[in-house]
Order: sequence, then C-alpha cells, then structure tokens
Amino acid sequence: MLRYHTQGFSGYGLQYSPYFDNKIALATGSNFGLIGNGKLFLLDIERNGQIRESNSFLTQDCLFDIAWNELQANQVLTAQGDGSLRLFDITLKQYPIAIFKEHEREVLSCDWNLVSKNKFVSSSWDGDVKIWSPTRSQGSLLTLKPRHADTPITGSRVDTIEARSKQIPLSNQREHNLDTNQNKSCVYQAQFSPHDDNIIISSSGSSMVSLFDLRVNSQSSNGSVPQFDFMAHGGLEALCCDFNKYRPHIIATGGVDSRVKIWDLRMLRSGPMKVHGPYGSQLVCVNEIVGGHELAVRQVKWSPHSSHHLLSTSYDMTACVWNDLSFNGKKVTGKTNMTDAINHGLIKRMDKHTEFVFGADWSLWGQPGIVATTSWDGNTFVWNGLK
Amino acid sequence: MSDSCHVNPLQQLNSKNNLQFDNQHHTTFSHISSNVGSSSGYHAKETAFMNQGQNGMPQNILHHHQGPLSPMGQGPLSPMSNGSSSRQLGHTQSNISDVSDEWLNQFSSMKVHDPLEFSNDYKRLYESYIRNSTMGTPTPARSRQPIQQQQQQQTNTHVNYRPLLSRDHQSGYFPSYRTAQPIASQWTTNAPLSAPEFETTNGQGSIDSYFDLEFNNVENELQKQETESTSQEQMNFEQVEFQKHAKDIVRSCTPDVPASPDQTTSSQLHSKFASSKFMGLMRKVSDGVVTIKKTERELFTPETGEVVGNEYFPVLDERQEQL
Repeated sequence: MLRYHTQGFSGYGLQYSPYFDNKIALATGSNFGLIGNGKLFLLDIERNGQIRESNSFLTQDCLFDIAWNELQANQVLTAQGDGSLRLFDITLKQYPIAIFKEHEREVLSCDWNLVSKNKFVSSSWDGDVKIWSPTRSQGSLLTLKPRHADTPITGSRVDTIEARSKQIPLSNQREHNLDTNQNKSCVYQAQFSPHDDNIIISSSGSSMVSLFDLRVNSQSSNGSVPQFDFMAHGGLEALCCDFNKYRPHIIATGGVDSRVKIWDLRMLRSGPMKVHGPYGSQLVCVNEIVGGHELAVRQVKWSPHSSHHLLSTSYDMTACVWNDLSFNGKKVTGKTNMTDAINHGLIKRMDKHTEFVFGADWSLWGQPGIVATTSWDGNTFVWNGLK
Repeated sequence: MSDSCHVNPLQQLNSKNNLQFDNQHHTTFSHISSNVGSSSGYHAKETAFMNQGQNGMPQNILHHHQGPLSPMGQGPLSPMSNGSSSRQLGHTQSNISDVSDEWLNQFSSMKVHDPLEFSNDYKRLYESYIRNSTMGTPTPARSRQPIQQQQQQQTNTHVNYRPLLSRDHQSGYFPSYRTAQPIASQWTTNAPLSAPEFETTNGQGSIDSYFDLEFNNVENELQKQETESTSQEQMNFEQVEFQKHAKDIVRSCTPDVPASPDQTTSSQLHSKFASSKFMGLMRKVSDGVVTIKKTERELFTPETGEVVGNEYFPVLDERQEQL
C-alpha cells in the first residue's frame, strides 16, 4: 500500500491520468473543506513505490472534484467551492488557464465526456447540471434541471403544495431525524455515459436519480428537464452514481441510507418492479448491497477492467471493493449480494483511513484492481482492491 | 333687506347677532373699541377679522393672547392655540361674549388652501436650517455676516437649493462625508450658501453637476454602509448555523449506549470517531470554542483569537493569459 499525505488539506476527489500511468490528480480543501483555500495536487508514483508531488496549485476555495481533460494530456479540471470550474495546465504554475463560472453555489462534481471528449459536465449545490465546452469559457452550453422530490411530475395531477407539505417518510433512527430538506436541491454528482456521449445521469439531495438525453428537446423555462427520473434511496440523499463501463444499461448509486444500489435502466419504465408513489416512480433495483457500509456511501466507481467489480467509499471511514453478484461477467445470475450471507460480495475492505473517505478511482494502467482512495485525514492510499 | 338676502355672510351673521345681542356687543368689545377705532360692534368684528390677515389672528384675540406664538412667528395658529385663546377670553369676558365670538373664532380658524404654499416638510427643514445657522455654528470667513443678513440671503435663495441639502452631521442621517473641495467643506459646516454667489462663481451647470456628484457620493457611502452591515449580520448568522450543524453532526455520531461486544464494527467505528480530528473540531464548534471568522475565511477561537486549522492565503482570481 502506497501512501501520500497532504499536510493540512483534506482529500475530496482524485483521478488517475488517462495519459500517464503514474500520475494522479488530487482535489483537496483546507479545514476539512469547510472553509479556506483549496489545493490541487499532481502526484507522481515513482518506480521505487514513493508518491511524490510534482506540482500543485493553491486555489481561493476548496476543491471538491477533479477530471482530466481527455483531449489534452496536461490539463486537469477542478470543481471549486466558489461556483467555478477551473482548467489547469500541470506544466505551468499558480494560475488556471480557463475559468468557467456560472454556478451560483459550490460545484460538487465534474466529469469529462469520454466519447466526444470536447464536453464536460458539472453539478452544483445550486441544483443545476451544466454542460460545458473547454474552448468556451464565456458560459455553459446547456443547463439541465433535475427534478426535485417536492416538485410535481410533469403532466401529473400531484399538487405542488400538497407535495411540499408532505415529508418523505423516514425511519425513526436518530441519524434520520436531522433536517433532511436542507440539501434537497443539491446535485451531488453528474456523469456522462461512457457508451453514449448524449446520456447523462445525476444524483441529488432529493434522492432522485435523473437521466438526461441531450438529443431530446425538453427545454423548460429555465433549463432542460430530465427524460426520466426515479427515487433511488427512499427519500434520503443520493450522493453518487456511476455507469458500468461494460454494461451500458447498468448504473450504481450510493446514498445516505448506507446502501449501494445497482439499477438496470431498461427495467425502470415498466415491469413488476415499478412502484407508484406520491413522488413519482419508486423502483426496485436489480441488486443492492445492504450493511456493507455503516454510514452514507459517498462514491461508487465501476471497475474499468471488469463488468462486475465495484468500488465504494463511505463516511464510515472505509473503502470497499465489491463483487456484483447479479452478474458473473457473462450473464445475469439472478442473485443479489444479499444472497451472500457472509460478506455480501465484499472482496476487500480498506480501513486505514481515519476520517471520512471521499474520493476513489481505479487505475487504468498495469495490473487490474489497483485503486487509489483519498480521505479527510489527508491521506491518499494506493492499494490493490482485488487481493 | 332680510337676513337671508345678505350676500356677505359676515353681514348675515352680524345682523342676526345684532337682533339678539345688540346690547352686549358694546360690552364685548368696549375695551377694544378704542383700538379698533369704532364704537360699533359689527364694525369692530369686521375690522378685527379683516386685520387677522396681517397679524395672523384677530386683533381682539391678539390683545388677550398670553400664550406663545407659533414657532414660525407667522401663519395660522394651530387649533390648540386657538382653543387656549378662547379659554383665556372666557376668563376675562362674559359668557355672552363667548357666544358672540364663536363665529369669529370659526372664521379665524378657517384655513385657506394655497397651492403655492411650501410643504410642511419644507417649512420644518427650512426652520431647522435657519435655527442651525443662527446657533453659533462656525461659519467660514466668506459668509461671516450678520445673522439677519444671512437669513435674508437664505430666504432669497431657498428656491434655488433646498434646505434638505444642508448636511447635518449631528443627525446621523448622512455619513461623515468630507470632500477636499472648498465648496463641499462649506456645506459640511452648515454655512449658509447663497445661490446667487454660487451661480456667479460657478454657473448653474456647475451647481447641477456638483449636486449630482454629492448625491452620488452620499448614495455610494450609504450603499457601502448597508452592504457592510448586511455582511456582518450574514456572518453572524453563518456562525450560528455552523454551530447548529456541528451539533447535529456530533449528536448523530455519538453512541447512545456503549456498543456491545458483538457489535465489533460499530465499536470500531465509534473508536474511530472518538479519535477523529474532524469530530474533535465539530465538538469544539458545537461547544462554541471554535467558530468561523467574520471577516476572513478561517476558523478561530473567539476567546484567544487564535487561528484554528489552516491559515487562509488570498489567491488572485486570474487566468494565466491575463497575467
């Protein structure tokens, strides 16, 4: 296990370079990302196993996510707490080469399109998802508006006031008694499909996972509305989402209910798994990992080398690699991870972090299964998730 | 001519009074008849009423009025002062004279709407302006003139500039604005500034531009003050909210009861929480030991002023090509 410590800065997001096999970009924030500067670290993994800082950029505000430019090997994009996205050239010093500022609150995620490579997407606490071009810093190309749980379904007769007055029923557990309405509009993550450059999914504080197809004209007065959305985590915040790299219709989500859920997009609109509720479609996932984490799941990442390996990070200060038991690499098995009574399909749990674990990524290079995780403790670990 | 045919309402009323109280009229105004110069009650009333326009009240009342005049020293008296005058008359004269004077008081208290009259606000401000200028406030050498002359000047020039523009630092309405321009300094000292002088030195265009400039300055300062006060309140609100969230986090992460031996994972987690620096910080924030700085993007201890965590370093919001 390799380790690098960012003194005074808490890790939020990291990503392996798609061009260099030894480079990792790391987004951090001071004071646990609550207040103060942010810092972008460019880390090089040396042949002797040491991790060395090759460059760094101090920023005005905390950094929450990171994405390498898929067209330029030396450019990396950061999501910043002041509502801006900044594109840095890692061969330069101090300042970004482009600033994309349109969000009104913290930008929580950014993701580069892997197919067309001339677009990237961002999501923010302001409730918007925006599509950008790296060559156009004057403004975004498109604004997408995920539907929140308290807004009526388009074309339905759900009364807005009635819907707002209703609280989503939660459990009586103490951790669920907090004010769950305050982050409803926050879009925690948005991501392009690696299979289709027009498909975007997002997960938001309203527990809704939204699907957008950029080819469909669905403009409303203030942005495009999703083609389809569903409540993923029973009213609790959906914090993360990811497309499976080998199965185009499979996505994974993680939420405040401490669960990782795996969904088949083909089975969302119809079939026996659809349940109608006052807030729209509440669907049943094809697989879920219950009890794998003790606290909210902060990030999920499908393996770039395998169709059924999944990495998750959590507020319980652990990161786990899971085997999706509903698929064996060739066909659907019909099982769920609950059928494995012993460890629920867990391959490896990494518990060396001493604070909340936020960012994680699979290495694209070398032996499959190498992952990197970063945490609020300032540690970045590189470890083998399959051994 | 019958009473109803009198065109003049005074005559109409007087004829009625003459019929009923003809004898008392002499009694009523006997002591002022020498002043008015007529022994006739009707004539005395009419003269008294007609003279009201000159003195602001009927002469017969003026003679008996012992209370203070209106602050302006001119213009109609307030209803209260009329009432007190009536009461004073009642002490010195008979009830019959009171009854006979009712119409006179009614007429004297009638107010004529003058469309050209200045508004009350204007009068009040102008009055305070005059009062300020006569209260010994330091005046620049250029305008050291007899107060009467200054008042005369102000009276002549009040049409050209409004008394509202005489900045009153004591009132606190305007911020302490000072400009290096000599004209502005005259204004700040409440010195009377006559428009003709102004016009001759600078011209009307420069007055307008000067007013525009001064108004802009004042508005900018007011806006700045409002922004500062709003941001302060916001930061205070942020501190409270921050503490509230910290309490929520601590509450949700603190176990109710000690974990049982079989709950190994939970106990591991709680031991991690116990040694977590973040949870330690949240406990301090929830206890009020640590909070957000109001002006800077740092955490600090209010008691000692010591910065907690990372110090904030300002970073230029620039791109490479802009440098």
